[in-house]
Parts: sequence; structure tokens; C-alpha cells
Amino acid sequence: MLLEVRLFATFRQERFKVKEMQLPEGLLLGGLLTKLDISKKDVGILLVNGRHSNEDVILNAGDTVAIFPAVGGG
Amino acid sequence: MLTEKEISILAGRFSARNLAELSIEDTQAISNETGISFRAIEWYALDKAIEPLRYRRNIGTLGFDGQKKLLESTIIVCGLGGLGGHIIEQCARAGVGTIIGIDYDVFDATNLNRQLLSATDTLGKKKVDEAKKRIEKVNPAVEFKGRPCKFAEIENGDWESADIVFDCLDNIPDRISLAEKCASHNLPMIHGAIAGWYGQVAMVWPNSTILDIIYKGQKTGIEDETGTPPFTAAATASIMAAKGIKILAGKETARKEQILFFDLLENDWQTIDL
Repeated sequence: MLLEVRLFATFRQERFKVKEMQLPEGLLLGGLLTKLDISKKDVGILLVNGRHSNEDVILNAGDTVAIFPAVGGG
Repeated sequence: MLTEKEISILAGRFSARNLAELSIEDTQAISNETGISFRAIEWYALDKAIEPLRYRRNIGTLGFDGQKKLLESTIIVCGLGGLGGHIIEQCARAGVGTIIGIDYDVFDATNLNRQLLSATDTLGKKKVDEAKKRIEKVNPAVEFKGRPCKFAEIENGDWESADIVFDCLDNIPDRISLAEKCASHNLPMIHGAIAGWYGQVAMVWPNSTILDIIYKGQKTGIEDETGTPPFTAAATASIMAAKGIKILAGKETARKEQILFFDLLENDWQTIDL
């Protein structure tokens, strides 16, 4: 299945900003993070089609996934 | 803000001086003569559509009513570091009447890159004390109450007196507990956090789950690697201050659940509606 993946902030480094990805059916959002080699301890906001989501969600063809790092400094 | 007696005293003083605008010198003189606070004198002037010169460049934006509402307002600023230093500065210049600033810490050399109240001569000094000095210099009409402790230790009266709380803390677990504390006092909280070129701001209405959505149980963010540079702190603080002042001045009434995430490196601004 084909999905659009959007990465933000430091997640773009050595990866990409936006990419169409061919992914296996039934992949979980957490599985996508692993594929992208994004450490789960760095993950903040996760959106699927603009709605907030989490690692346990099953992705579907045509979804747009946005992945932001957690930001906590002041 | 004023008693009947004070109103009648001020009416006399204002008419004797035939004031078309209120200068700093007039405010000082009237306060010396009457013992009435700067803030109350400014409020009276605004009520009569007489511009305090100090707020002249605010009033086109906030209006006389908005400016009066700010003078009547109390904010709590948790953390007087990178975000909090800029927020108290902007809120004092804007004319927020009472600022309760909470920080148990002293300034150290790693604060100098971004914390407005830190300087080579304030290293080792308490953040709340430097904040008080600064606010007295910038706008003596503002009452600054420094609390050199953790936010969990301030008295109930402080929470009860507040209209809004600014989350200017530097770690995620404290931000989550502050949101719980605010919810327990039914107070809206303005959250802001930074790391590197990246900042985020969100309104946290009482009992909102927005911080759980943002943090998902994380204990730290990417700031451990990226650090916290000055421009991101100042930009984030400005967005937070604008949000707070909008609410206090009655310019925003809709309760939006929204996160702003921005990237100053790529100039990418994302507004996430929940």
C-alpha cells in the first residue's frame, strides 16, 4: 500500500521531509517508526490524516502520516 | 480596582491638571499626593479614555477596555528562564497588573545564551529576585510577586487569584503536573516548549488531554541533543505572551484545541487542530 509520510524537525535529518512510501498492508504506526529508524523515546505528536494518533494504530492505503519529535525545553 | 473615595480624589486631581494624556511624571506626582497606586491611577485614566503614555502604543491594538482588563489581571509564570524571562518582560510592558513568578533556581553560566534576566552580574542570584528588580524598572505599576520555590509549594491564594498560567518549565514531567494543578484550580494554561530551531505552543484548557497527545508519556524531548538557543526561546515566549494577552484582554473567546509547532530552520509553521 502507498502512504505519504511527513517528517518534522530533527526527524528530517538524514531522512526526508515528505515521501510516498510503499509499505506492507496492516503495518502499525509503531512499525513505520521502526522502519524509519526513529527512536520511540524521541517521538511526540503523531498524526494520521491530520488527526492525532498513536503507535498502535493500523495504517491504511492513502493515509498521510505526520511524525513530530517531543520538544520539552524552556 | 478603585473605591468610591479614590475615584472622587482622582477626579479632582485629573481635573485640576486638565489631563489630556497621562505622563509618567503625572502618574508619579498623583501617586505621591494621594497614596493611590500607579496601577489604579492608570486604570482610572483608561476608564476616562485618557491615554497613559506608557500604553499609547498598546491601545490601538488592545483598546481602552482591553488595556483596563490587562491591568485587572493576574498571571502565574512557572519558570523564569528562557521562556519565562521574556514572558514577564512582555506582560509587564503590556500592562498585566499582577505577575506571580515562580522559580526556585539561581542563574548559572548555561542560562546566558537565552535567559533575558541572566547577565554576568546576576550569576548565582535568585531568578525571582532579578525578575522583581527588572519588572520594577520596566513598569512599576505592575506588582511582581516572586515565589522562590517549586510550583507545587505555592499557596492556594496564588492559584485562586490567577486568571491564567504560563508553563515555562524546562522538563516534561513537571509540565504534566502543572497542567493537573491548573485543572484542579480550573485555570487555563499556556504551554510552550523549545528544542533547537523548533518550538511549540498550545492552549491547555482545564482537563484537556492535549499534553498527553503531545508527549505520550515521554520524560525528555530532543532538547537534550539540540540545546535551547535564544531566538527559539524568544519567539516561543512571544507567541505564548500574545496568546495570554489575547485571552486576558477579551480578544479571544473561542476555546480552540490547537497546537502550533514551528521550525525556524526551514520556516515551517504547522497548526494542528485536535
